[in-house]
Amino acid sequence: MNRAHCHLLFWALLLCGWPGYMLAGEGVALATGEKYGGGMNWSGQGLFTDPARFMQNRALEGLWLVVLLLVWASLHRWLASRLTPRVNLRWRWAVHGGVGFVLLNVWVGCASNTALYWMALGAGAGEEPYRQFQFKRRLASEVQGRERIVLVGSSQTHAQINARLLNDRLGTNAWSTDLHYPGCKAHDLLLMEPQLTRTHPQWVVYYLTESALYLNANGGLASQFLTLDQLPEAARRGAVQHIHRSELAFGVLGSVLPLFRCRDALGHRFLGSPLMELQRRQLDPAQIADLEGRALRRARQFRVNAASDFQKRALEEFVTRCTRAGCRVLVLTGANSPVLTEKIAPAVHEDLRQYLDGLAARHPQVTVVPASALPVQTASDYFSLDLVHANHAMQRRFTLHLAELLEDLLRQPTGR
Amino acid sequence: MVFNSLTFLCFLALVLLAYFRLPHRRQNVLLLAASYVFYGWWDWRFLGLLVFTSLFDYWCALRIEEQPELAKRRHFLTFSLLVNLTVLGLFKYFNFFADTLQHVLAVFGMKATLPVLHVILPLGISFYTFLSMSYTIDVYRRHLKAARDPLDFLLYVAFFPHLVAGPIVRATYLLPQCQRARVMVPEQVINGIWLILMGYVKKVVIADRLAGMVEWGFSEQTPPYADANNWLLLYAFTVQVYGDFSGYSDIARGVSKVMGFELPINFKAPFFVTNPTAFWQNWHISLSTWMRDYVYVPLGADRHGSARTALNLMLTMLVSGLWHGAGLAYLVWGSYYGVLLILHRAWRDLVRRLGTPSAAVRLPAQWSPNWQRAGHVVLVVWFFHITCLGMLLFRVASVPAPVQPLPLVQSYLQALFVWPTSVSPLLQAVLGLGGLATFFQWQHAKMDMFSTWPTRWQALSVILALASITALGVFQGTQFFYFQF
Repeated sequence: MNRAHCHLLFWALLLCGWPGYMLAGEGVALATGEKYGGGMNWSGQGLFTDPARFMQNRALEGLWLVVLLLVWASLHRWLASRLTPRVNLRWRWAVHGGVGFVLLNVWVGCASNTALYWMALGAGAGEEPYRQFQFKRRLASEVQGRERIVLVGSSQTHAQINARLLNDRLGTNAWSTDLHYPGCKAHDLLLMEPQLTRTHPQWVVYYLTESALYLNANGGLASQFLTLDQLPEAARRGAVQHIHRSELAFGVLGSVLPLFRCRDALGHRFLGSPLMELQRRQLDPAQIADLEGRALRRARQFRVNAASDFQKRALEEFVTRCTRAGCRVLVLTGANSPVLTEKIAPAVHEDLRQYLDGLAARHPQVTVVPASALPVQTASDYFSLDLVHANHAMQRRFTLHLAELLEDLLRQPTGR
Repeated sequence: MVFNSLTFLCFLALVLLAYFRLPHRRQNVLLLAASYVFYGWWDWRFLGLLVFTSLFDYWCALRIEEQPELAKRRHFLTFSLLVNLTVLGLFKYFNFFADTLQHVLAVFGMKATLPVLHVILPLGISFYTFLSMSYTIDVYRRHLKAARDPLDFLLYVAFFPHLVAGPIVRATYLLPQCQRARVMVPEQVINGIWLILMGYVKKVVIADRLAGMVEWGFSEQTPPYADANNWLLLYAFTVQVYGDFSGYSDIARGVSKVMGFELPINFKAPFFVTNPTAFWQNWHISLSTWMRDYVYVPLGADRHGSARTALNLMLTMLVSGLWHGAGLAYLVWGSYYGVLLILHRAWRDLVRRLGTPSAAVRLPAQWSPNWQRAGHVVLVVWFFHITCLGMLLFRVASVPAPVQPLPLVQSYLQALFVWPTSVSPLLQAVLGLGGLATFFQWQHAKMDMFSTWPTRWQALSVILALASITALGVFQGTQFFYFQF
């Protein structure tokens, strides 16, 4: 089979693909969903509500990705043919290579708007957070006929709230998606905001602890979420003073080159998660075992200063934008392990309390739940040697409490 | 300033912009200034040492050249070598030798407290000292005329692409390129651009990705696995060093080519060899040829019988080990290769005596070509593992302080030959990145002739290189492995 035959076959398959999808896509998806729905729901770990719709949407995305690939190839050929005659023969590779690389990024940029792309980058155990975030975000926007709730925050959100259990409890009233990101600070949340609001949630649930506002501003997430158009505003807000410049530069680079943005996910996919996660394993076990010492060292890093003001301003802005996008914000005043909490300066706790009171007063669409209205957490509710992550029993208790809280809020007319 | 930093890319862009607009002499002035900025970016205080070494050898070479009598020439050469070795010894070896002397004296019951120098090792000192020394030796041997213009010589020593981690370029090779006007050949520029790209792939994709695994594997007193899975760490380290150092050499050669200079090839296909002699003809070629010409040959090479040849080989490899670092482990590493080279030479002599015309290890001629090929692959794999064991010694030479090198080697050697019950999940990464490194070696001859490839392959390679750098590269400005030498 020569090249022309390959092209012909490819186009023929594609041309058959679209009518095939139009005619039988829904039927096949429904049948598949009916037959394998249970298994899919199980393997999908409760990330989608309707297996048939999931199948249908993936098929559609698959077709689009192939079309995009063809457009990429054709555009490359067209652009190269336009540009190369003006270029010396020995430099034509540069034109072909340059155009090809740019178009590859365009393709990745388009593909990264599909759940299928992120699904394909899944690497099994040791999930990469950016891939998980993007995959779940796209699935969240496919939920229909229910109130959409997104759970945001750092890994503490994930440790406290089990989205699957929450969805079981909420039944057909609402559907929650866990869009937490490890290390997420308030300013990172603001950078994520355009992506979060694109899922059109009715509720944003934020498990907020002191770490989001009073700890070092360098969460490392600007490199993942900052876009070129956000840069001037971020700079105006003071990001240049509080966030490491390389993070900002990487963010801008990622905004221009989508391939760069996906590098962690691609690394996990092609090199395996064990290699990518080795850094985490390099923690000194002796240091880990010294919980009290670690708590003391960590507690000293919580400060009320210009960086915390910067984070607070960012949270304020985030809340404003969420409100503008038509969703309500539920701020849960979270906790750390008491071993850590008691070592944090009282001024930090007081500042947080005052700030949250003010936030609720300034924004009627924001509901702040004080720590006293949430389940009490003791040191035994945390994983051993962990200062911030609650264990599974606590997670269950907290999630059930949250489910009741949300049911109450959803029943209120203002909640809709 | 390291090659894999944004600062360097901006620096290079500025230098190139100015470089192409200037005539030859001003190009040299620009390059010299740029080279000093490049070096001073790390620590400007050591610039003085670099300038001193260069100017001193420049002066010595002129004196050597103008002396008609051999004895006087030898005086100046000895003076030059003494000063160079003193500088090197003071900064790099003083503490090691003082420490060793203390231990030796202690063995004989004498207690001596020798001073310890608290100095930072100047970046690339071994490279530029060897470069400078080879120049005076070559002038002494009348292989080269001494440079009249100090600018040319200063540029030869400080030329930023090779300054801190080689290749160790001989004056006979690079000095004439500094002296005459460079002719810009588009093919050379194109090949240079490709070498730069390939160098970055080797550094930021292969070496830096594996660096995390190597750091993790060698950070404890015991190996991370209790079985042969530890081989993966040795493979990873071997590939990392290859990626790091050959990547640096490629970038150095690429940048030089873009500016019209040619630097020698430093790495060919070291993982495809079947014996230690071939290994050193493929790995850090500029150092091994330097050692051959300035240590092994002056010692008498193989001209004085088998025993003397063996001694010369061992001494040369010991010097090579010491060049890499001041430590007992580096000496052990050097002697490991010394022993391998001696054994290989003995084997060759034996084969010769038995009547085989070729000196190389030959597989039986009656084997079919396929069996010959398979046998060759087995030999390559076998020798690769020998190389990896050498790398284990090399790695433990630079383990962090609390880890004891000798027990670590012992525990590795015990574990390496225990059959594994499961395969490490790191296999995927080692296979992937090792495969990429192997591909670069397999095609190493073609990598230098990028301009002759069909356009389609050129474009595809550029897209793949850019994509892999963007998607899989590590961008933390990690230092190059050989900077420490």
